[in-house]
Amino acid sequence: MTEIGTAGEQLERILYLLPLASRDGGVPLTEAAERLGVGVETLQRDLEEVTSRAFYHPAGGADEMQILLEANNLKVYAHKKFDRPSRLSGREMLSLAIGLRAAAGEAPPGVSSEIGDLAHRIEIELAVSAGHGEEERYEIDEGDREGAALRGLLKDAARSRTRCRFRYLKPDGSEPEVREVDPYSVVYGSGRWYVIGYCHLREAVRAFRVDRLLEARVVDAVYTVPENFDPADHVSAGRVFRSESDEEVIVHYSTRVAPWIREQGPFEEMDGGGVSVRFSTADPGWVVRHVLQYGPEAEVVEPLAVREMVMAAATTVLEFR
Amino acid sequence: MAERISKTQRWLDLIAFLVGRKMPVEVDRIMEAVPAYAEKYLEADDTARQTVRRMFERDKDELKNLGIPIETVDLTINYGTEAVKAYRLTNADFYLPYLKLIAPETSGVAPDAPPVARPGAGQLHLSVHHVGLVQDALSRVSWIPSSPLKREADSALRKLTFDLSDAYRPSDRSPVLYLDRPGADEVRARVRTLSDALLARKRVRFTYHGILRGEDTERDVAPYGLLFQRGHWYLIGHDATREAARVFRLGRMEDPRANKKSPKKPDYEIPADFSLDEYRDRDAWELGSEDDRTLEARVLFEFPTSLWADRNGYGTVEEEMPDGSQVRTFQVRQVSPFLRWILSLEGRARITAPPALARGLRSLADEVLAVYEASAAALSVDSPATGGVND
Repeated sequence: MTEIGTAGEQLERILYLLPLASRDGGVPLTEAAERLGVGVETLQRDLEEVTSRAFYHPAGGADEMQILLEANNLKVYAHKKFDRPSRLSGREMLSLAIGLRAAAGEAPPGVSSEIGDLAHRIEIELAVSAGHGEEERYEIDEGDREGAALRGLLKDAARSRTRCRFRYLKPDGSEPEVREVDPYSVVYGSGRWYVIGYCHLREAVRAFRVDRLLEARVVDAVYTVPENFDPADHVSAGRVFRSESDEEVIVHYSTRVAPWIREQGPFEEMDGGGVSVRFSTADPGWVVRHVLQYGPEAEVVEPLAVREMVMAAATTVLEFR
Repeated sequence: MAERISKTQRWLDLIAFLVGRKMPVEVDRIMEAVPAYAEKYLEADDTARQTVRRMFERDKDELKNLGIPIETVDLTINYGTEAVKAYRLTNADFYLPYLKLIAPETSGVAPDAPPVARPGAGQLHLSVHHVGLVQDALSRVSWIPSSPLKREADSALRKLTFDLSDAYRPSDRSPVLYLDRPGADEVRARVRTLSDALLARKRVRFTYHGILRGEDTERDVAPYGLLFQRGHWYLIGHDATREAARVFRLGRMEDPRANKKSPKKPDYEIPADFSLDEYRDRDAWELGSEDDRTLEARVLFEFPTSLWADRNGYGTVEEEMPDGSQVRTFQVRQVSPFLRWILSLEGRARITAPPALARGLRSLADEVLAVYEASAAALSVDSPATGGVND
């Protein structure tokens, strides 16, 4: 499907573009395209749908409309028509209701009922029809319910570019560490939350698992995100990595767990039905915990040092009395 | 020579003709005024006229789905002797009411004064806090990987921030990033198909790759709900063959197609007692049926792993030791995933009761060691030169 999409998608764009360009001074086409998430060429095609009608059907209903495109600026005079966006469609209201419901599920009871009231008010005032509870047919579970408030704080801090101080517990740490971090980005990947930012202790950009943040607060300091920061540099195949000093670890999985591993990302088939995966990681401890979750069904093949870490962990457990 | 009038143009003409009129418009007038209808309607051929009328009916339905409700009104004309259908699209039904920010809580951002309200069009007052909630809610639905309602969530956010200053406009430099899993594009199309079927209550058929048996089966399912969790989408629905509610991961599904017969007529009803909430995330050891035997496990979490268990709400605290370690209890239905999870904590948590479960954990550790010892032995037999590498 091209970017033009269906007639419905095109009409939706036009019914937003016309009021936008009816405002004083009109709107730069590039800005309108950015707001609508399409290219300028697509908007030009959309405009042709509006303007070309008059040429072959002078009696058309919308012909009172004047459309001026000067350089990059679009201006519409529509004589009190199409000067507002249309009301929320049933599905637009549904998407809002689903999002508000997910937010209410994570909020404390007082805020939760306030969110419910807000959804109800918007549905009555702004939507074309009531949703009849269809939002209950959708559930967005972002995980880490206990950390919802903490995540909200991190998102706000990242939005307002405010430094945070948090207590972070490394898996192998003997006690929590206090870190001051400029949170550049809050990332959700493979069912987990991470915060990627500049760590003032390590003097480098680091990724932290949010489920290991015990508490966080904002510090009265504002930062700027470096131009060259791109969260994608810390991400590979849907996972977040913690630094550049990666080490390759090879893990073999038995036939029994292979079907689940095949779903998770790149793998190689082995003779006998098992699979082999190469992980590139700066934290071999992560691999150790990962393979232990599979018990005897997963085995680190290389490097030897990581094999020994797995064996040491198993020995510790074996020696419990 | 006239070019073909596109559907978008036809819809735009229809809306432009109807919107803002105070009185309902008779169908004949619409047929004559909207160019795409008039072309055929004026031919005076009955079949052609019927075709155009049907086209208008379809347009009305589709526009309603797009949030443009053209109202049907029964009119009597000729001094009450003749009944005709008329149509209306009032300003209040079509245009979004003005949104006005009240009590701004941030001094640096002044809300825009709304333009003078159109008579009859409402005005909704929202606080800065509420705008934040709305933005957060719609962002969740837009950004979640493979979202079935991304387009609608983005569009709703644009509309709801139309009257607000640029400071409230969604930014493309969002601080939150949702990563797609491999294969997200295929899943995106499936979620949309299933979501459409769910809203229309139409049955769906698909090929499902069962991961336990490793075989493909054809399924015929009445969708009850869609659930996103741990980065995956799931369909919960009533499976006709199994005659029971089942959960399907969309990543294991191929070629879902909805029943296209009688699109306006629902194929089924969702039972009133069905709740999607019951399918929400549970830990693997909590899964299983209500009839399964539940074991209460006591686990000692060393400090500071105890802080992490507390932070994430694992189990219930039973006892706190002076050194910060904690005994936490768990209700375990599935022993194997529970033991594997405790094993992955590398000895920082140990099972203290029941003894059988503690023994189970030790034998699991023993099995792991056996795997490594066996392969090390095989390695040293195969290539003795590598056996001594251990720095």
